[in-house]
Amino acid sequence: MRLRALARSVVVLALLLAFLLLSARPQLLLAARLPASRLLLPFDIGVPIDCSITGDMAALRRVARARAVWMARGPELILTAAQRGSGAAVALNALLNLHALGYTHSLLIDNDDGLCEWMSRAASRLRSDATATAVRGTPCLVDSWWRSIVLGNSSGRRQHATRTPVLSSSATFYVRLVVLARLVRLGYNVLTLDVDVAILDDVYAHLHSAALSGRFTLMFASENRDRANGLQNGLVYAVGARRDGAAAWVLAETIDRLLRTLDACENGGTPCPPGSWLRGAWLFHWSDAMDQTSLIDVCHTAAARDGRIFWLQVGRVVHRGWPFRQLAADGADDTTLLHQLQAARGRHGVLQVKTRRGESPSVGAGSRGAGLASATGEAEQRSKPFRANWIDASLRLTTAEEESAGEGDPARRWAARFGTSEADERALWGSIRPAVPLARQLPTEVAALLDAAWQHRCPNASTLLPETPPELKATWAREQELCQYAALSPRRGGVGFALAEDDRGLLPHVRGALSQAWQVALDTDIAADSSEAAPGAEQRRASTTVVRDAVGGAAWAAAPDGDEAVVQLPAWVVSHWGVARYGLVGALVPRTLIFHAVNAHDLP
Amino acid sequence: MRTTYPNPNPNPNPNPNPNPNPNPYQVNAHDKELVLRSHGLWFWEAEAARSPMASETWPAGGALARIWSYGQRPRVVAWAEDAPLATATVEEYFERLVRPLLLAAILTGRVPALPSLPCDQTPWLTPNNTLPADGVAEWRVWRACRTGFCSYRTVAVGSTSAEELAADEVRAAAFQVRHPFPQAATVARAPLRCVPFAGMMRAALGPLRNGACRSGAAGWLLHPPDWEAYEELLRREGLTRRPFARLAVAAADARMPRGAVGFDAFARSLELHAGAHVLLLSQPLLVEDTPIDVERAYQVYCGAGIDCDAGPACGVYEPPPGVMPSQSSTIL
Repeated sequence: MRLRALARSVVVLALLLAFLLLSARPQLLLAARLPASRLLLPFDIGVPIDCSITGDMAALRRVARARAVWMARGPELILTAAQRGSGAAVALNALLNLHALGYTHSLLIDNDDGLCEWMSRAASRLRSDATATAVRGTPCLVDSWWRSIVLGNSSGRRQHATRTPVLSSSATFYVRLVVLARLVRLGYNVLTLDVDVAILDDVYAHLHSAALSGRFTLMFASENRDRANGLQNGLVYAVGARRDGAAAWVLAETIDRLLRTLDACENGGTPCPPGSWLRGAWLFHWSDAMDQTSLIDVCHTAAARDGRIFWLQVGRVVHRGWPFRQLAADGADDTTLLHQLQAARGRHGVLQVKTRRGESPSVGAGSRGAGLASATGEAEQRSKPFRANWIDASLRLTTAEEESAGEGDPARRWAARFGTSEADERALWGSIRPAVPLARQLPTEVAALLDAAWQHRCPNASTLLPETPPELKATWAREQELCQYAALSPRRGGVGFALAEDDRGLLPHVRGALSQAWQVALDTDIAADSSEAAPGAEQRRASTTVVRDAVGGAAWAAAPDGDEAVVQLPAWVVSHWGVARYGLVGALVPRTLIFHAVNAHDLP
Repeated sequence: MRTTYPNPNPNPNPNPNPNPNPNPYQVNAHDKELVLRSHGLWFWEAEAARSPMASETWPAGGALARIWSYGQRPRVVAWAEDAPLATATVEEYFERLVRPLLLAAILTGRVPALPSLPCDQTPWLTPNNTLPADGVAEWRVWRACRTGFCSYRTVAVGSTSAEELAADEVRAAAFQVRHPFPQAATVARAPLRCVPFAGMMRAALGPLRNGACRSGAAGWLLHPPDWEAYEELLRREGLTRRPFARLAVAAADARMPRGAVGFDAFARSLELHAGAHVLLLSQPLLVEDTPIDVERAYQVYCGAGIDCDAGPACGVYEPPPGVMPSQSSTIL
């Protein structure tokens, strides 16, 4: 009896101790909720974890639950991605930076192949055991699904890379967005960073302030402080976002636009007749940073809040994409057509965005959805169709610590720390809405010109002759092939395709196999409860009233429940080299929290 | 009812694409790293993730991996800290500073270390300082350039004056700044200097037009922050047996233009310091009458690279008794 009583006491004491521990360290709760058999700890950076949506959907969920830590705004993760060749050293620098700050909730993504194993070998050469252990214990994710889409797979069933290596080069960088979108759908706060950043202080003290996390569920860096098209995705922070809300939709739709483009003309996607520019859309060089440009487009679309869509990538195609670039070199008629097309970009809202001065967004979790509409002046926006709802306003930021301490005027203390003035505290923000219905066509004038340019080029495609200079043969052969694919080869006549009115300027609005798989994955993730998704994930749903952006689309919250807010962070929170070179870094007291080395280059 | 159009060619053969698209995240990747390293925002342990082999990856910087991860201490030729490095044009910079450095590296089998430059005496590096046309929007926001040299062509780092540094120290203490990068404070406290972007060198004549070379991949090269950190490491480890040596070049021939020196005199002066681990050039030089084989070696410096196992450049440094290198000296 005495033994039994003693055992009972021990059990009670153990339970009490466990309760106290978990109360003090909520992150322990995350691990504790996982069945022991599924706990992947400790991770080994050298063993890639495949988070493909066509494989084990639960793999990412397990990693996230084991790795996330609980902070003031909920369960947090940090994502960074790199490729082995040029990115390994700077990726290791980034991991060491996180370690120096005491952040233990990072995930590394291998963009192409071999980074995980490479980093494992690098970790074995680190001098400090603590550092080596931290690096070696970082989960390294790969996505075999995305890799098969972008790089092709061994079955050869669908190899986009063979059709468009240009696209594959940029699309590689979507992997982290795929992971980010899923983690937000699972209910996590996720800070996504390029590897060429240096975090100079504890960022959460600022990011979690009421002024930022209390207002915005989606934050980006800025290329240019006063330009809505200057959204920079070297930093993306989703915090407190509803799993079916606007921030989650923006991230998911960014992936989906690329998938729908790849699905077009086949795979059950958008049918595209001969003569339609969409036939070659996936062949074009859309942009040097296609992932970022696509994010900008979708943010504009979500911020319009009236059903308008933005697809500025089309404007980039005019500059960058063969055959439109080729038009400029082809002679007077072609140049005229190109100029018309470029001029049309400026006349149509889907291709251009402007901003305006406005009020600061209100602070408080309750205002993130309802209440934002009045601040954005929707009626005024509708009268100016070329504008998205990007507001240039002061944020007056403070740290969470300063807010809770209630010391004096905390905003001024923060301003002194970073040497900001009121003008420096201005930022672009907008209210965003999920599930914007997919658009079928571009505006009439742009549509006609875009199709005409595509139809015009191929009949004039260069002919391969025996005397063709060797250095041009490969390029011209590719050109011939593209025209043939589009049924526009010189032999077939080319000019004069009579496109039906609803086939002009087609956008990829029909979901094919790739897009459908993605949408199913999104719905599977949101169906995951708190035992698999983030702890407390059930409370992160905005609405039970479901809307979809098109047939086959995933479930999103109906307006206004799903409305949230996005911001382009000011330079003293995150700053790229173009701005930081004015002195935001380099002194003993940095004037930015996160320095991004992008845009570091010389002028010709 | 909509028409479904057949796919005319579901799997065309791969061909070179007419749109050359360098990986956007790799464009000037070396300069991105150079910016981080110049500001001290770099953990040198990160070189463990870089290949020790020149040319294997881009940007490889094999010398950095060997120094920081493989325990090697390659011999170096660099510019002395007090050398007069003012140049009026980028051509002068290459002719009088870079070319003698690379020639000395070739002749002695050392790794050349590019110098940081005096910002106020290098006008070609910092054009439009008073009103940067390439950053008007940012200029409007920040109103001032802390260093006075906010060009896209260079990274200006360090303290501009004792007064500025003193004020900065007060602010750092007041705000209890805890910088996660230990070297950043050292960089901030040092005097102002300008690190040229590697991308600048593509406009100039000479072997460093080669992108892989100026990144340190195809021909070994240390950029200014790399050398500053390596020099500090050598001093910390107690480099006493084979010290730093200043190169004293024989008086220039009277027939030569100002600052010019004949190749033979240059080569002889290098031989005088063959035993030095670090050789420091101290005077801008215009090396004349270079033999054709040396000139050829200079021109292909980046193409040929350095065979680490064949030359002394990658020789393992033997520290004095009692001072152990931080890593194994074995080449893995």
